[in-house]
Parts: sequence; C-alpha cells; structure tokens
Amino acid sequence: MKKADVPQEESMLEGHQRACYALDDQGRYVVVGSIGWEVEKVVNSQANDEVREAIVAALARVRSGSMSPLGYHMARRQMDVAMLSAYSGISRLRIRWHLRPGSFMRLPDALLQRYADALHLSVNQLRQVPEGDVHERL
Amino acid sequence: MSDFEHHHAAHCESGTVASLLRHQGLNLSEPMVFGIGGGIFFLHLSFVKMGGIPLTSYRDAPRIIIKNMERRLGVRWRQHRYRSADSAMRALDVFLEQGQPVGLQTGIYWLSYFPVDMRFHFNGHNLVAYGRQGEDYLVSDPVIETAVTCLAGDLRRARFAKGPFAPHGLAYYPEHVPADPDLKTAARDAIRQTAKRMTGIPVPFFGVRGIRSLATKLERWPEKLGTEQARKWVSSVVRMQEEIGTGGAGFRFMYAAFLQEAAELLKTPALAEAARDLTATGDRWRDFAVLGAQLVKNKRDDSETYAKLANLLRECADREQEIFTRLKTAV
Repeated sequence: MKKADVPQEESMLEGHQRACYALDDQGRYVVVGSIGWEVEKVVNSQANDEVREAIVAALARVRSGSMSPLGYHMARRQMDVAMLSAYSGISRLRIRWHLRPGSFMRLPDALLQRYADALHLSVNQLRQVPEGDVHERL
Repeated sequence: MSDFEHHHAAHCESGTVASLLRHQGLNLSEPMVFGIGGGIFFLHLSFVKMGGIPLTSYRDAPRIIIKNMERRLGVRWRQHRYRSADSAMRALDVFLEQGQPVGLQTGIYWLSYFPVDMRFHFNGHNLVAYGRQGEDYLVSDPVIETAVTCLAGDLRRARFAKGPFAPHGLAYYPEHVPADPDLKTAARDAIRQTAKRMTGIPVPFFGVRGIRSLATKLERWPEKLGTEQARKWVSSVVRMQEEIGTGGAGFRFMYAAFLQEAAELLKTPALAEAARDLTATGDRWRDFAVLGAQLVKNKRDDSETYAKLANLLRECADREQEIFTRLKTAV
C-alpha cells in the first residue's frame, strides 16, 4: 500500500487516528495516520448492530415479564452468562435462575450488590430497566 | 515521570514493548520489535469459539513479543500479577513514584478514552502507565495518537477484567536492557522461526495451511450456517485483519516494514525483495477485506462472492507459502 492510498474515510474512530504502514515515494515504509476506512466501519457497525439487537431483544423480554432486569443490564455490558459468572463469582446456574423475574425479585441485597459491582452499576439501576427505549450500550 | 516519550504505533504489544525499551535506551522501531518478536502468524480454529464465532488471528499468541525480546535480545523482564485490584493499584503507584513506567495488560472494554463503538470485551490490550495526574493516570496507549489521561476507576477495572485472557493486573517492565544487543543474529533467528511456523506446522489450522482451510470452510459457510450467520463470520475475519489495529492487511505491511529494515541490517537484498512481495500480498489481503465488507454491507449472499473470497484467501496462502519458503534459506 502506498502512502497516498491510505484510506481517509469517515469512521467510528471519532477523530482519532489509526497508525498504518505504507510506502513513501522512495518505496520506504513509513507510519501514516488514517482517520478511518469504510471497510473497518462496515465490520465495526455489524458488530455494534449485533450488540444493539441483543439489547432491544432483552428489553422487550423484560417488559413482557419473561426475563428479569439482570438480562437487560448484561446485554448493555455485552456480557453473557459465562462472562458475568467470571466477573461476579456467581455460578452460571444461579445466574440463569436469577434471569427469571420471580427469583430476581427475591434476591437479598448482598447478592444484588455483587451483581451491581460486576456490572459496574448501582443496586438501584440494577433493580429496574429505564423508562423509554434505552438501547444504547454502556 | 513526565519524560516518557509517546509514540503512535499500529499494534498494542509491539508498541508497548518498543516504547518501554526506548525509555531504557534501546531505540528500535515498532516493526523491528514486531519482527524480532515473531509477531506475524495466521491461525483459524473452528473449534475454539469466542462469542459463538470461530477464532481467527493474523498474529501469534498474546505476549509472544515480550517473551521473544527476552530470548533473542537478552531483555530481562520483571512481571507481576496480583490477587486483588487494591494491591495491583498500590503496587502501580509505587512503581510510578519510583519513576518506573510499566506495561499493563488490560481489558479494552473498560477504557473510556476509546471511542464507544470500539469497546468490546478483549483482555489482551497493552499500554504503558507512566505517571499520575491527581487521582488519575498518565497513560501512553500505543494505538492512540497522543498520550492520554486514564480515569483511576477505568484502569482498575481494565486491569482486573475477567473472562478469556484475564490479565490479573499484569504489570511488567524491563529490568535489564542490553546496551548493544546482537540485532543481526536476533533478526536472522526470528525470520527463520517465523518462516518455519508459517509453512511448516503439519496441521490445517496454522500458517498457510490455516489460510487454505479457512478458504475451504468459508466457501461452505452460507449453506452450513445460513446467510446471516455466514455474514457475521466473514465480518469477524475482516475485523481481526483490519479493525483491531494491525497496521493494515493483518500485520502483513508491518512485517514487510521489518523485512525492509532487516535487509539493510543484514545487507541481504533477498529480504528487500521479500518485503516487496509481502507488500503485494498485503494488497491482496486488503482486496479480501474490501470484498468481505461489501458482502456484509450489501447483504449479498450469492455463492459467487463467497467463492471469490475463498480464491483471494488461496492466492494469499500461495504467495505467503512462496515468500516464507524463500525466507527459510535467505538468512
């Protein structure tokens, strides 16, 4: 890739630059900053769309009463049961149990606090889902 | 310590190692560190899944560059892992008070100085902490163009990220850096080993064999997985090649830059020729990424596009087989 061919396209880098290696006019490699590449943006959006779809689906399930708010907060933090288990030290089986609205409602404060710490939220945030359609990732 | 010099790099591990060594007086370029560190590789493991997607990597295992600096250049590292975030942060403060910049392994998800759309759970991100600013930390993150300030809470959570490759607070710095290491021998040894690994591992997951087996599998993804899932998987391969910070073409351009430097160091024109050929191969990898992104974006799911992608991969494999076979005997 030549220096002039390093893409400078709109991207998810929010004004940051990415270091690319490219050839200068003498055929020597130099570092060239790139503000983004359409290709990167497409595959990055694909990954982010997936996160967003998971959040939308989780919120719908919480609203319909088939899942506890825990599932929504996990989706916002891009965590699955295995990852939340690693963060919280709570077994996967128990987390699955707590994803049911009924058992989540009855959780003691100490356990709620462990979930809140693992998800980096307050206990109050954890207990509910926000009003309105909040689908942004955290 | 405020005299730490920040350099913008393509890759976190080679960038972190290069700047820690530079701070101790050994001035090597990022490609030189990457090349001697044996960073370039290819693997595709369909049976190891991360988030349901098979693992594809254009580089060798995390921390291989750090290890190879010790083996090939005689750099002696101090490495610490910790039981708790409290003790890890206290120890970091002591290093910084002593004026010792340290490399840290972190989970990128928790670092809020990254654009939000780039924050995924990946725990192998390296950066240098070199000072404090009030409660917060002065951080030289090689893949960001300037030094940044990192919130204390962010750094704490990032150092104790959990899941695959959990860093356990890993902090490292070179305890001893040779003033005048034998770069020629190191570069020769590194090129030979990399060439062997790229062409000589007799299972279809690694090196050029890995590229070919990915081609065969990718062609079957749409019928095997359905078009939507197949698109996701193609997208993830392209991300590993371009989006995660590789200097372009899945580290191929950076390795070509290393070969170019090594050609002068070793007075071996064959290496300069290999650098040119690898650059051309890198351009083909970029073509693969462009076509892959078109498939993802336009939701095209004709088998023709998948066949074209597979053929591009096969071409890259053939070219790399030829280049790395030559490199085995070139030095």
